[in-house]
Amino acid sequence: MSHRFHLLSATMLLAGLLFSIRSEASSLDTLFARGDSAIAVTWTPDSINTRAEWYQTNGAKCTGADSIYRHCDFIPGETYHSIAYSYGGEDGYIRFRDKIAEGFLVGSHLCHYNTFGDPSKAVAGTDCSGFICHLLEAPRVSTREFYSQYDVISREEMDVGDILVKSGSHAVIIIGKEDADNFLIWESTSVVNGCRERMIDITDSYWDAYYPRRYPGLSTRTAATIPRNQGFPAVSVRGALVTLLSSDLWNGTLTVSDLAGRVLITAVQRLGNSVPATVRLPGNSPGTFLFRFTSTAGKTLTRPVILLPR
Amino acid sequence: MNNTLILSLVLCTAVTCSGEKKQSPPAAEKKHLEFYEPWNTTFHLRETENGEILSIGAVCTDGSSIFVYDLAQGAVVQLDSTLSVTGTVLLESIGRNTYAGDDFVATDSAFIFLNSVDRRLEFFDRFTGKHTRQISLPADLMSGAKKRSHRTLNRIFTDGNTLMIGNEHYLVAFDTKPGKRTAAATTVAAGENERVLLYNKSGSVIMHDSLLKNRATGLSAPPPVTHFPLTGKRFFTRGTALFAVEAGQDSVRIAKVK
Repeated sequence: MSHRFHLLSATMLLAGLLFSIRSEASSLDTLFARGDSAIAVTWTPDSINTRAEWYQTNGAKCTGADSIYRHCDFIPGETYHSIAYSYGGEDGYIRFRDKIAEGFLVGSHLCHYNTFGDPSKAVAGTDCSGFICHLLEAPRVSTREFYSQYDVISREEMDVGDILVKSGSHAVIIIGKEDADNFLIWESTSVVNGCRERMIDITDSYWDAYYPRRYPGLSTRTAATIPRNQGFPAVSVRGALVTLLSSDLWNGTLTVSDLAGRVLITAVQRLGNSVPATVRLPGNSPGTFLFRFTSTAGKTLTRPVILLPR
Repeated sequence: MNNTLILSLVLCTAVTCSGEKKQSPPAAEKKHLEFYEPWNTTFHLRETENGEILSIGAVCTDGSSIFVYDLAQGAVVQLDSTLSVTGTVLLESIGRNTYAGDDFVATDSAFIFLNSVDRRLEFFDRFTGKHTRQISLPADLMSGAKKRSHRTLNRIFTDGNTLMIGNEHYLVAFDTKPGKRTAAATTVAAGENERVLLYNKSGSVIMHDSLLKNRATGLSAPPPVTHFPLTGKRFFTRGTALFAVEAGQDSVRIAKVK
């Protein structure tokens, strides 16, 4: 079986290098790394992941409007972004990647779930609540439990890491606040068969059925430190301020880029020459940034840092 | 109870009593060039497996016809200049149920959808709905935007032969032939507290201080309310008139913004 599976280099680095950030990492820290990875993951299903006979056999009882699910909607050989939607699923991107490689199916839906039971035994992907629990590192619960067990907050209080939930239906998690009405969210949704990032306007009355909730275990951090390690210079990050620790002498080039590959800061130091002790990242949005250090000998090391909104 | 709701209740009652599926718009509305129908006549509501509602995705015009993306059906409905339905084109699946993109534009031969999930343009034959090609968007396409929320992809406009891609805050000119930003790398950034609802080189329609403002005509009006949010454009112009799609709880209305 030939599987092709690709991750953006940034997300591959994240998996292996997050440990390099000191134990300051909290739920909100890792939320962005996990979410960015879930959205950025690139994958290509093959004929095993989409096997027609499985859908024909197990979809036989799916009738009416559900009869469209007698085949897998994902197209073999086509490249897709983001973890696929799967009703009842809860896969993070590493598990999703592994499942695709192991020949799990993609394209689950409620009809299969009701007829044949938990699809996560056969299908790769995540549903809306599984995705949010994964991001928050919270115990696996459903949208009903988001609604009934998580802390009740007002719409005015809603901030990064909070949830908008319609009990028994759908939930989204807030990752940015444009203004009082417009929010940047992540969700795993059957509308697009996968996870996505998008803007919503909560003044649309459609959102009246959604209620704000906060995971009680969510903690917030605004700082991270990359320790000096294996030649990587020590860097402190607090909000948007990046401090190259003055006590640390290093030779080479330090760049900071976002996951889209945009280089935000380039700092070069040769022994005897100084660089600004503190530089400010442009913009004020939270997210995951890659610190890349290339020594004068040509060795390159990369460290991810998650910047937080407050 | 507002007039729209009253009218929709009347229409729903009429459907139930007569058993007929289709309602003609009231004469008065037709005179004022409106499209008005209960859901599940031309346009549909559909509930997904986890209870999300699919409705209308976006609207666009090529100058003569109006095209409405029926997300529930995975189709594009075509209306003529009198806002009468003239046809429906079912779109070939790209593997994401009925989703083809958040927003779209119409050219002489194709519908071009902005698929924000896979970060690419999806081309469909305008007359058959066949998926003809796709172009992956560069990872750094929106890198000039200052905020993460301004780097999302959910709007596409045409500007002559160039596409403008981005969102209500930041748009980038994109050339589909080389598949990258134009050499001039034209960008449009909305002003502070502004959102570009409808890009037009000679005067965009913007949202500012909770008011719609048509810079080409000077129109200033409160935005029409929609219950189901559209993922893409919900405004278009015909001549100097600005029209909006309202996806209500009971019906679909396309009418001039006054």
